[in-house]
Amino acid sequence: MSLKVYDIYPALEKLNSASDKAKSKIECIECSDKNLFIGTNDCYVIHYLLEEVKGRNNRLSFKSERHEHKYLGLKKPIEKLNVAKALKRLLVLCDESLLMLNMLPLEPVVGMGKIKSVVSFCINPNPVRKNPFSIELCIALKKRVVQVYTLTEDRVFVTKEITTQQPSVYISMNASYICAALQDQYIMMNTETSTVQDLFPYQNERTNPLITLIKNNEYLINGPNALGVFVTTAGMSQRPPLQWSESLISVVCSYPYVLALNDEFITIHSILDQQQKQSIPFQGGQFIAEFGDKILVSTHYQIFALVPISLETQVQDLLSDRRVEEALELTSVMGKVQLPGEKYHKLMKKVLLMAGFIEFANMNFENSTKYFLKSKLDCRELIILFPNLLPSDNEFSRSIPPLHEIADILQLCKGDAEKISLYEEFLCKILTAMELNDSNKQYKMESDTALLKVYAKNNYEELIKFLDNSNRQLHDECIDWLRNRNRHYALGLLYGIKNNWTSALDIWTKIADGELEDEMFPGIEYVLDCLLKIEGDELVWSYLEWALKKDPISAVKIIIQRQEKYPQSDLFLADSIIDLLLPYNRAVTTYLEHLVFKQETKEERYHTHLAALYLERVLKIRGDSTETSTYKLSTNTELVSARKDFQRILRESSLFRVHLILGKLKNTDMYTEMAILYGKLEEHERALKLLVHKQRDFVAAEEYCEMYAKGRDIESRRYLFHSLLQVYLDAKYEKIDNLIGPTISLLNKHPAEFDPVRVLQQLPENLSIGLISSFLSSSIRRHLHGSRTSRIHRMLARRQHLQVKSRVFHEQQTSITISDNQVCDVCNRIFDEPTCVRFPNGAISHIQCSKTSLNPFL
Amino acid sequence: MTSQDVTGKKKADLKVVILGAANVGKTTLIHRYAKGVFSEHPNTLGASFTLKQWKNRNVAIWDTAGEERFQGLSNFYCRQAGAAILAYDVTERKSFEELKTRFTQLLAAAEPNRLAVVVGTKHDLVEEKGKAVEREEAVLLAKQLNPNISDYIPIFETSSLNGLGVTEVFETIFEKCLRFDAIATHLVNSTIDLSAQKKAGSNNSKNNCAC
Ligand SMILES: Nc1nc2c(ncn2[C@@H]2O[C@H](COP(=O)(O)OP(=O)(O)OP(=O)(O)O)[C@@H](O)[C@H]2O)c(=O)[nH]1
Ligand SMILES: [Mg+2]
Repeated sequence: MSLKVYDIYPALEKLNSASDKAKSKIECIECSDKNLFIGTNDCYVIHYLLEEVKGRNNRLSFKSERHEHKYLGLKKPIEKLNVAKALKRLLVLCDESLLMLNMLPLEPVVGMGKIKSVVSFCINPNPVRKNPFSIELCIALKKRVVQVYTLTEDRVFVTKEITTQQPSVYISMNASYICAALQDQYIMMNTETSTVQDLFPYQNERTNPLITLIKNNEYLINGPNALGVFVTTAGMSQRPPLQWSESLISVVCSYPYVLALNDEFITIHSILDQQQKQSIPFQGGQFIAEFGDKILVSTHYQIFALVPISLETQVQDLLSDRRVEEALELTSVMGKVQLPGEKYHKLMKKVLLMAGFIEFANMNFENSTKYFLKSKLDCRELIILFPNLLPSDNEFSRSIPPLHEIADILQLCKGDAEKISLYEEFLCKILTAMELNDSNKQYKMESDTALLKVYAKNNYEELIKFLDNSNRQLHDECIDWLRNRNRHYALGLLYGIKNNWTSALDIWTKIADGELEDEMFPGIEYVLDCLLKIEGDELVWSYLEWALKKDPISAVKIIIQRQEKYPQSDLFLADSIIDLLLPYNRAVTTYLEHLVFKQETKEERYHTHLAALYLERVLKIRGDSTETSTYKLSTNTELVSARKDFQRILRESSLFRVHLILGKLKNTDMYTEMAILYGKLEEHERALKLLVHKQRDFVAAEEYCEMYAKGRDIESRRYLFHSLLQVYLDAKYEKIDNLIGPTISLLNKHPAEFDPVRVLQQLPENLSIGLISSFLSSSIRRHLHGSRTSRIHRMLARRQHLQVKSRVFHEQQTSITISDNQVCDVCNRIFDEPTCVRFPNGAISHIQCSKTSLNPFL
Repeated sequence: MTSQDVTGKKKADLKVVILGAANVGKTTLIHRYAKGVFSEHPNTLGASFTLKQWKNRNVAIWDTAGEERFQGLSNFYCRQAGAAILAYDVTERKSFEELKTRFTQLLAAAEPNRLAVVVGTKHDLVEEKGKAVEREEAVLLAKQLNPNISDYIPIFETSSLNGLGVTEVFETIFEKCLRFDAIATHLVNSTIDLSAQKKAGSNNSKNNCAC
């Protein structure tokens, strides 16, 4: 994964020689704030001030200004410079001697000698004993000794000395650890415990020993075979090695990057994934050093600055190359390290968005969805790419700087209709997904409107499903959109969501009437269902007539259900409803049935009306039927059921006007009905005569008696049954013989309801006794039973009588004495006459006292 | 259980290192285990590293380079390894000999009670090229390297091409090394803090009835 992480700028165009004789070459450099110190091959230390200049368009450049120089007089190249900031001094390694200069001006420190036989030295950046006025210095001597010095304003002294197997050639110290390169081996020393741990061998001829401090307890070592090996102070490795190139000259770390210099390239690796990020061709590199957050790199005569490219720019570069995955990974890895939380999240969001649009443009919808959802994309940013989907009065404008270069979908698809519809499908999917995870709540209107528009265009079925949700927030523009596309039914739904039921019903009824056409319209039941559900009685009322015309029975059901649902509503009064329903016979019947049977109304007129309607129906069926035979008529199921209904009200209701109905029946042969009516009038004989002689339905006659006998006393019951017997035996109408069968069966079935003496008198003389034997024997048995029961009653009564007598006798045996000082138990006064009252509980009182209301014994 | 180092990266609970001559298929074996597929890799330079989760534990698997020039580094990368895989090619006699001459000595850098698993690779090539190392020899080596183990012998013959034995190698290592570890940490956690108990005790006596 290659990447541009640093830009290179000239920092010092040309080194001006300090002496006139020879040309000085840069050997080493060191920076502290804006101070740049250069060590030359001819033993000069030169001081520059280096400044960053921001020109027009934020273009960066560097301005160097030469200050002073110092000749150290050793005629050898200066190997290493280090600033001891706390002491404002410069440590110089030259010709195996470590010298100290004051930084400003560059003068030797008086009274401080030099340390000799020094091979390598370094300043401990994190000494264990912290003292702001001293520094800790680590020095490798030519002998097999490594020394730790403390350096103050005026003193320098050894604090620790460790002997090694071989002389060290390079050292790096941090805290209490020293990492050192011996001649063919790297080692780790612990100055606290004086322990030395071997790390690994290397070949001095092939590998330039270099040790770079990465973090507090981790070093990066130039290992064998051009590997950059990470080593912790514990002598372990926690990261795989870097693949470096051969013959490295200098390495510097600027977390999280490591920059390594050889004579042809500067290579930049990330510590985090150990991958090489960038390689800058750089001929004649000499030295590389940190300069604030930037890096300086020198050749013999020039110095360049490496300026880190901001993460944003790096990511942007990757994105312009459409390297989406890499951009995301870089952001998540580096962003977390380099940016404060909030900035990181902002950048991450932006990258996700841009990534989403890149994948979008590539029709890579799966990834696009992933990124968009993760980034919590403002849905308008996406909708605006689809012409006309955003409401025209919407003021949204795309974010600046732009997240993508897409003008719109048409441009993107070059008008390819198939592609466009794929994009539209994607839009619907992602908007729905966003709705599910609640990420676009504040733009619900825009999202819902866009969905509606796309569905209306492409997928009517989805549109209907979509509209089946009263929480939709839809722009008014949708109305025209649907109308122009003939989505009439959906338009009605839309009106419904907007609570404009007048318009909704208007459209739907038009569809139902065939004025408008819409294949998805579910049919008239749907409208009726709505009439049932929506609020607003007046509106419903105004559509009732329409509904009645379409389907009277359903319309009545609506009325009934609405009445039950909104009992307070006064638009739906029974009388006005009946008026409205009058033209629809069945409807009015249904409604009256509801009133009479369900609601059990007490209004006579409804009962009568219903009874009359039933009768009318029966008569109509009869009238319509050409059949005259009674038998044929009785098999006409419609008629049978109509009569059943009619009989039902006659039987169950007691509120209708009997005479009125009876009058209407007079000239018909509907004897059953008439019998019921006579029954209502308690004219049982007439009823029974009808049933027996006209209807000739003996079973019905018997049932009639049973019905009216139920719950009555024995007299009334006998009256009823004797009436029937009378009718049977009435020779005025018929020959008795004809009715002998039913008579016998009546008697045998209900012997208890008859007075046998009267029956025997009524029956014709010549009747065979055998026929009524069952009646007679059961009568006799009952009478015997009656007589025996009476006798028992009598004896029991006698006993009771004797008992009472005995008690009276006992009561009369006891006496009471009234003395002078005896007081009345009621008034507490004495008795002045012998008459008194004695209560069953033994209390005694004056006669008058016994009657007062104060008497506690009553 | 898992400590974090300064970078916030999880420190591994177990370090496994794989050793063996160049081209015996070390990288391929690790890749086969981690990714479940066979793929070609360039020769490993120095070392590389895979982090693997096993039952909530982190395992660092270090792949080393087999070429002789990396010998010194391999030794370094063996440090503190809890388990080592010693890989040889079952069809290459030399690779087995090299195990004994070059690689077993690297185990000295690992943990003292490390597990050493002997793994023969490229078993799928036996039919074509013939077997150059008998299983018995490998068994012998495995026994020698793990003198403390008596209940099983850590030796596997594998093929990264068809997956034979690959999972078993790693599962066995994790099972043996982390199981024991788990018990150990459990023991540490279950030690009773007497001082805490004492406190509770004194509290109790206060509340108790004086009689
Ligand atoms: N047929 C077959 N070939 C294998 C198998 N394992 C590895 N190879 C091949 O052997 C060659 C070397 O594999 P590597 O995994 O790179 O070997 P290595 O041990 O990592 O080598 P170094 O990294 O140099 O130490 C490759 O060409 C692999 O494809 C196997 O199980 N069967
Ligand atoms: Mg390999």
